[in-house]
Amino acid sequence: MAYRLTAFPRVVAKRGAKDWKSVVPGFQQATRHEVAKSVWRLGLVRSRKIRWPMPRVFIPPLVRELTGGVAEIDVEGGTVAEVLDAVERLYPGVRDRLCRGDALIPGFQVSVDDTLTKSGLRAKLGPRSEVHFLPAIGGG
Amino acid sequence: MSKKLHVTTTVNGEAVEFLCEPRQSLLEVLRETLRLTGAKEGCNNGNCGACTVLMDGVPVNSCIVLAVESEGAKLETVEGLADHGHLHPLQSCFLEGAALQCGICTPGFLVTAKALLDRNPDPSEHEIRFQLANNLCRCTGYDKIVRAVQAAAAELRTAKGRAGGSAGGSAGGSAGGSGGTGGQAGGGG
Amino acid sequence: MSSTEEVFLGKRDYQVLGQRPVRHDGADKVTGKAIYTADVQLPNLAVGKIVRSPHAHAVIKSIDASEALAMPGVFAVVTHDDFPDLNEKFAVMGEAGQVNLSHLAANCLAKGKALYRGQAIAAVAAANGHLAEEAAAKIKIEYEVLPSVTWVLDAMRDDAPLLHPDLRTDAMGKKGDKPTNVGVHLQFAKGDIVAGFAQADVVVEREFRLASVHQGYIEPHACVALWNEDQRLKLWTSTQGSFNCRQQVAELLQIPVSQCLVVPCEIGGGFGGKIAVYLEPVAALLSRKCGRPVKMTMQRNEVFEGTGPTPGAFIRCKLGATRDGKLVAGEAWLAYDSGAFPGGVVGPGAMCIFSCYDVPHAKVDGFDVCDNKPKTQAYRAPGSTHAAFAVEQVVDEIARQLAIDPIEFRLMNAAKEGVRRVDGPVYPRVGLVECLEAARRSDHWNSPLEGPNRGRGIAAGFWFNIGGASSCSASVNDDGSVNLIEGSTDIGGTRTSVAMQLAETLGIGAEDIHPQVGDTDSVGYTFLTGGSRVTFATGLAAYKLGLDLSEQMRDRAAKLWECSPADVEVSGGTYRHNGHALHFKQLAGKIGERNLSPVVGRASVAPECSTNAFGVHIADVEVDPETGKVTVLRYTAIQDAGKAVHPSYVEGQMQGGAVQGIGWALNEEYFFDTHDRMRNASFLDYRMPTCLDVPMIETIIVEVPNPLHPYGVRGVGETPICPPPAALALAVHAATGVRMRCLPMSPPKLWRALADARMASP
Repeated sequence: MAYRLTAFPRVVAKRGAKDWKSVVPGFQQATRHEVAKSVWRLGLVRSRKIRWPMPRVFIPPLVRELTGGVAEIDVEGGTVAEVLDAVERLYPGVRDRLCRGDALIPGFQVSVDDTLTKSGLRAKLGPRSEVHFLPAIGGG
Repeated sequence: MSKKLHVTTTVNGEAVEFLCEPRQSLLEVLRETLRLTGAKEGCNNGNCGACTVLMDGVPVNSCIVLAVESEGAKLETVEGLADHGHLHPLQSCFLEGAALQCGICTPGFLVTAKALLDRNPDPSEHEIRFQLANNLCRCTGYDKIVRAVQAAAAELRTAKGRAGGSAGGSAGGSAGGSGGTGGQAGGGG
Repeated sequence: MSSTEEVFLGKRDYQVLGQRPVRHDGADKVTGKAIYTADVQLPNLAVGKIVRSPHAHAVIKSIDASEALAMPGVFAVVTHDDFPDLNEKFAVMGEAGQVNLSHLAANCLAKGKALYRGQAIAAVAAANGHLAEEAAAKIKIEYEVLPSVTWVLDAMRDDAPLLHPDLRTDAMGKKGDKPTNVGVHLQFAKGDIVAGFAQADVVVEREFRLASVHQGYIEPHACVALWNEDQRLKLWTSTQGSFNCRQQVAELLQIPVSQCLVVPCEIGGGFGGKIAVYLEPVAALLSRKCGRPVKMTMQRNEVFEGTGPTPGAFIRCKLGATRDGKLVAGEAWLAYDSGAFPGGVVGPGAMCIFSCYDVPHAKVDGFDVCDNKPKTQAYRAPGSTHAAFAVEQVVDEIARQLAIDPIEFRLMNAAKEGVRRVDGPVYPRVGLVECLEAARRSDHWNSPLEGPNRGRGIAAGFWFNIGGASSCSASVNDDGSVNLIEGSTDIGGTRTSVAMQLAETLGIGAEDIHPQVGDTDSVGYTFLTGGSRVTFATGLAAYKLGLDLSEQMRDRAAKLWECSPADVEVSGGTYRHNGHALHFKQLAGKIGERNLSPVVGRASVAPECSTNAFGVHIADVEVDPETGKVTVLRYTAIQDAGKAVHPSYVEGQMQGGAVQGIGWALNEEYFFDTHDRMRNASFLDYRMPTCLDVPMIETIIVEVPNPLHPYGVRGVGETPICPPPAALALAVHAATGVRMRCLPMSPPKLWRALADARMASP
């Protein structure tokens, strides 16, 4: 599937990416302009000059086999479900590892920033939110 | 099942008669037959002390006393501790000192502590801990229970001193100070 | 001698918070009037008893109840077959997420196979308890005994007996390909541990082993079920969460929640062990079958063998630090058993292991392992105590190797605002540094400890504390008092801590509030009492309820004074307008007099956050080298409470948690024989601390307000159990030079370790 300009994933690789092309899937289909823009952004973010205002998804270590080792992915989306869809477009298979149907896998919950939320995939995200997938915490 | 036996006893100052099977424990009869559910069952083998009652002034684990053994005995349970609407100083000190959390062990501790204070009005911390080691509490860590017993002992000694040293079984009930705290503690949910 | 000192950073001008009123349910509890579940009496009440597996692992070949059912006075027998078909059914249950209902049902009544000694196989209802026991003995069950396993590392071996042939390891959604007892593998990582350890000048790696322990509540599980002719089920029970109980029972019996009413009786302790249902669905099935109410209570051996415990665990923990005392890397490997069914607490354990420290590069692996023990349950900061026992000892070894004071070392590396935990989230404002500083200033730390065989240890601990849904409602009486109904079962005085927050909000006294815990038909949904959440979350609901009531009172005042509500000023419980002034209580009287509409308020909240409670404990011990017995000489617990609403009960939580931790450290364990039968299933042999085993527990309450609560409350219940085993192990090391890396440090084990040490260095 070819990515349109507007849909082109503004993805950036943090530590652990072995090959930057591998973290910008759709590269083959993108226009030169899109690639240039993406590379420019990647350079800025990698050099830590900017943090693109997008939610950041932390990929659990055991799922990083699907992301070429990438641990953190910045993608657009207003909810956990939306950012997961965006991650899924980049790295097919990730969603299946984290979700069962429309819910998270049993025993897990989402943490948005430092808040363990029970809203699961419906949890709302801000432009700089961090998304973690963590075991559910109860208590005694 | 064998024939039921007739038992005559005194519970909290009142003469009580009941029928029981020989295998029934005193705890079972107190709770099921006499409906005095203040004594609690925590282990049913004499290890936790939640069922402690006084039998002729001696604390016993009522779960390992047969009901028939109480024939002719004078029994005191937690229900008999307060006197005419006034809490016993042990009870008010437990409340004021937050010496209970879930409260299931509290009746046993109160009864055991009463036996101690009846015998020894000025026990040391070690003596209190030694006597109360009969009772298990899992919530409080015992700190506040020991302090409450110390406070109650002091209050009872003061009351006794004020009463001119006259001996009396229910020193707490006659003490003006404890009556006030009793009223304050009322109105539970 | 009271020794509570407060380190105070918050707002101080509270009227009610910080006072120590007598608890509202107190008089009932000291006079024996409070009704616990076993005290409930109903007409025509039958008594139920459970038949339990004598084997740790066995196929149930047949169950024959005909002889029992033929006895006069025996009403009904139920087995797993009486449950509806729950195969492959899951239910979403609050924090636990999706729960496998067939596992939950099999834990109440075994399905096909007994997976642990003490698992319920069948149940019988009869006219009285003695008869029910006789009938239970006449139920004939044929077993085919299978090999069993109760130590977590043995259960992970390839040749281990398998509990669930269809179980495959789930590694974040990826299923393994071979049968195993390992239900879950999870991993957290941050930074690059190879690079991290490369920076380290000192690296310490150690292994730790922990036996299972029981929550040890004094009230055994109990339940009364009445399945009425109108098909409504009413349950009186001892539960940490009436709504959670209702949901579990409704799902297991496949009935609508509205058909089930749970009346929470007073509860005699829970500590995490009274969240899962055991007796409730069984009593309900019996009641339906025999048409009478059925009461079931467990004996103490049934509590030990059929409920709880906390996981047994193996932990390998490695930390690296630079010469100047900065932790640079950490690696941990945790295997926790979950008992007969998958789904234990290794997750939080793995999240907690480095939670007290700023470790830039870290990796943690966790494994959830089934074995032939009761399904493990939460126990006060579930999973965190194990982790603290490991990491605090490694931290201490590193500090010693670097010759840095243990408090200084911890301060140099303490978790604080902005630090990212290994599992990802970044801490908001937390109070570990303040707790460590309070420890450093404490009388205990600054008092010399002299004498042979004596030593001092210090350790930190952490628990998240959770939010969750809470509801409450209230009505204002003519005399200005307020009747409060809340949904949180009260285990340790939370009626009062919640009522105090309402009183503070309204500007009246704690004694003016009459709190009661409502049943599931009379109050809005409230999540369970656990996770140290009630004073925080239900307290937040009470605060919002106070605002609601206050707004309505303002409206009534406006009607009284014929002005707009906006023109009525409210401060400190007094309502003012244009020279008029009425206190809340006076205004309440006027409402009745003037026939204004009554004031009834309600509030519900569902805060989603962890409030992050840290604690630091100091322990002094003396070890008897002849017997290996450890005597605790002095003990201090320090904790950040955010705001101590009722300081006495905050101290009580800290003291109680500390003594539970002391028991875990020094004596308590599930002791299994070669057939994996628990051999110490009584309070005599499972030795919980008595009064005589512990000293006074000194407390220091630190108050670093929680930014997410109007009064700064964090919750306190769980964290105090985390540091004690580590603090005591470090004190034992200071006293004897011997490192105890397995729990419990009971006299035989410590004696052996001391003897080994003497042999090694003559």
